[in-house]
Amino acid sequence: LGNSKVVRITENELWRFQMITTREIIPDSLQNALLASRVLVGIEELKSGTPTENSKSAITDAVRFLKLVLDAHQRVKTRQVSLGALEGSLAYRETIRAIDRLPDLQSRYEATLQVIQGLAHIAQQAQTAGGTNPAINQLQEFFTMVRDTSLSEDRRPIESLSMPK
Amino acid sequence: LELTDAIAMSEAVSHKEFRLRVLLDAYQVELSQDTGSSFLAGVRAIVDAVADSHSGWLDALNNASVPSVRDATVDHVRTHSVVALRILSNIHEHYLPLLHAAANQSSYLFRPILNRAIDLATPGRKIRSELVLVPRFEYTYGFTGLLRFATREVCKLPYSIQSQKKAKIRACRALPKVTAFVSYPAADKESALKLTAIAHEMAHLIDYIGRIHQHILKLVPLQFDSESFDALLERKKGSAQGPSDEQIEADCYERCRKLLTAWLHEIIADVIATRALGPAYFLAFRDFLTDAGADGSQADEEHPAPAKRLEVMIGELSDLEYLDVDHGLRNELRKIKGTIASEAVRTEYEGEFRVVDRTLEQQRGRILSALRDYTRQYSYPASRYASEVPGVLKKLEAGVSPIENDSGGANSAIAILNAAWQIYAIQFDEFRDKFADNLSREEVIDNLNRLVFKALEGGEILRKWGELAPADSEATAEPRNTTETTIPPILGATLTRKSLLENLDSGKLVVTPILDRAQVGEGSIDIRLGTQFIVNKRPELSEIDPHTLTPENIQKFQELVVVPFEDRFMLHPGSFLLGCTMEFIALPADMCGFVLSRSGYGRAGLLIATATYVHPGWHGCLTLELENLGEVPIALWPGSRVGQLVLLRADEILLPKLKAIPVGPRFSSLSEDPRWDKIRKTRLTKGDRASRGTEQSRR
Repeated sequence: LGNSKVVRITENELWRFQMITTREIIPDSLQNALLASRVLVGIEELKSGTPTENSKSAITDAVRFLKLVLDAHQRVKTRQVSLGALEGSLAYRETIRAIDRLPDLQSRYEATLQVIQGLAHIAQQAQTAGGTNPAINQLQEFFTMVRDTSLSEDRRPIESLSMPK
Repeated sequence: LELTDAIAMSEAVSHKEFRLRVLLDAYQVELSQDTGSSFLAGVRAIVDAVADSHSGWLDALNNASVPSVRDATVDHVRTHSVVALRILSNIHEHYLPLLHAAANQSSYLFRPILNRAIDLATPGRKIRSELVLVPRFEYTYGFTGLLRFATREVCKLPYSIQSQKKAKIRACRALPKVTAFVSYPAADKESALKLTAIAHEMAHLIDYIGRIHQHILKLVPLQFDSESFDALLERKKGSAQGPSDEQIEADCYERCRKLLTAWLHEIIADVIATRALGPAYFLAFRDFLTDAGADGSQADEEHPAPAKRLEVMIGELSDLEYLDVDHGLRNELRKIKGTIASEAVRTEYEGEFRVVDRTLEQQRGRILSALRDYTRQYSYPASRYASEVPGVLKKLEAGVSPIENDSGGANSAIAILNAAWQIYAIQFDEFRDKFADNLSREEVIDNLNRLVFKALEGGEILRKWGELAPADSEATAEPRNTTETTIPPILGATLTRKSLLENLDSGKLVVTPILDRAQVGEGSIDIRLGTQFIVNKRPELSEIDPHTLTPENIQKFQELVVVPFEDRFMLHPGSFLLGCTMEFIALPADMCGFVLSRSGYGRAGLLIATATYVHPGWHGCLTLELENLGEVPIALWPGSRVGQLVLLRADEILLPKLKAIPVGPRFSSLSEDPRWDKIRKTRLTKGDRASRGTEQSRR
């Protein structure tokens, strides 16, 4: 009813319908990887004194990302689940992983929270002062690790094997 | 080398994108307007965006003159290529099966009912949506909801030029907001009873459209239970050389957050489905768990333990007073409640499951109260059950498809499903008793399912008819000449309009649905064409020889097709097919009938019903043999008045028990005639004699 076609589903065709479990085509981890990668281009543009449309929007996105992570940090510590938690908790997890893998960056601050706050501060400065602040290298180091960590999050098998033992 | 690498990867992106577009073009041809074409447009928009975004960055690479910027851009193009290739793979893996399902969408009966359910559950929302039903081999149901999916995905892609991105997003916003894919076990396709559990997936859709989950999170602030969360952290921190404490905490939080979101969605869907459908959903879901061999105490990453879910559902039924008012199922539900309670108590969670369970448990009252407020408008309380279901039940018990209620309106799908479940769950033995002894339990259940399916279809057509022709009132439908005299019950006398109406109104004679009373003429009832047809598969068919025909191979030569109401089927000159009446007919013990063509169609060359006699006590939809004897094709529209049923008084017979009740055209049962066996043997004997004779003469 309400269909304009006369169609019949044959049993032979049913196999094609198996395993329908799609959610998102661009999962958060890939989105974070793209963001980090673009921020890295933006930082390089700022450092070389050739800012573009991309460098401005990329640094704005970097600030937004770090603020999201700071909010998520707050929620994780207080164990709260709210609407915002749906967005930030994966970014927070990837950030923590990245920081754990960057001992040099960690050693400059007392605690993880300060690392994130410090990075957010550097990114905000870059928005106005461009790439003159040498601390911008910390941001570069951090986003390189976020990119690599996020890409490794989205692993997929290249072959599936099914046979009797 | 690095630059070559990035360029080579970019070429891989272009190539993969090209191959994907070829497949999408192929689907474009197959998709109908209302199932999948907007979904395909959305998928295309994402592919375009991936390509645009990627080529924008290649341009940026070509324009980068500063070496350090150029190096960073090379790195970005490489990362972008990796991500683009994965996105395209995801489209292949996740979206193409959905497109395939949309392209092969059957005119499945539940579709209009489900569409109506969405409208009812989301009043006032003018949301454009596409619903695609997907049968699957796994014994499981599923829901995939895509809300502004193209816009959301395109937003995530980085463009080097922002104005291009904004234009793309604007184009995506023109597409329908919701695309929903609801899958169901193919094994249950013919069972209206079992498919009642699909209400849960529809509830996910309602949750999705209405953003109920988000409202609940706004209304009810949730905080992970600290005791169980700390215990979880302690357990995870056990290993000395593992990740940092903060990483463990972040991991645990993310896992618990994901789990809580998933479980909350399930609770919401369970509550919506139970409140909207009443006991029918609860019983169907419980039955589904049994069929799936589920362990009542076993939770998973997406669902709380079944026992806990059933506990929530029975709580909702109790809130709707199903456990207080005696409506037929009360005692059964009370009994089940006891069993569930003891099983739910035994359910013990650990780790993340324990954290989420305890967190939800602490706010259970508030969550359920908020959900009851949301579902109040379409709840099905025990009082409605008590007023609507008994009438439906009475008809089902008599082997009649309960399409119409006593006032001539359509019975609600909810009342029909609840009545069917009441029979199936607690009155099945009485129901079975009405059928011939040689029918197995499964065959009797099949009959019940068919009666329900027919009632659901008939109800939908009746509603549609009301929407299409609201002015078709009783007054305009009255025939020109009405005689007030009652025809005496003389054997063999044809029933005239007054008598036909009296018998129809009293329920002694069932012809349902009567879309308008003008169908009842002076000496016959006009019958309409149903939605199901059986056509011959000519390439497969060499001949029909009753000697060689078997019930199995007749279905190899003939196939069933469904033509939706409002659609048509072309019958070409010289072609023959089987159709059926839209009306479900049940004759009393003292009435028999004949099916005749209506002159209008007859003069156009359409011959119907070559086997025209209908026995006293007959139940079901009549199979019509349709042949185009004319010279031009004839369009057959389901719902059109193609024939007439003439009814006569007959000697009252002792009604036999019910046999299989057809609600669609029946395949030829020529081969089932036991006399053919004798003829076959005779022929075999003759053949044997002949061959022996030949052999002897040779000697």
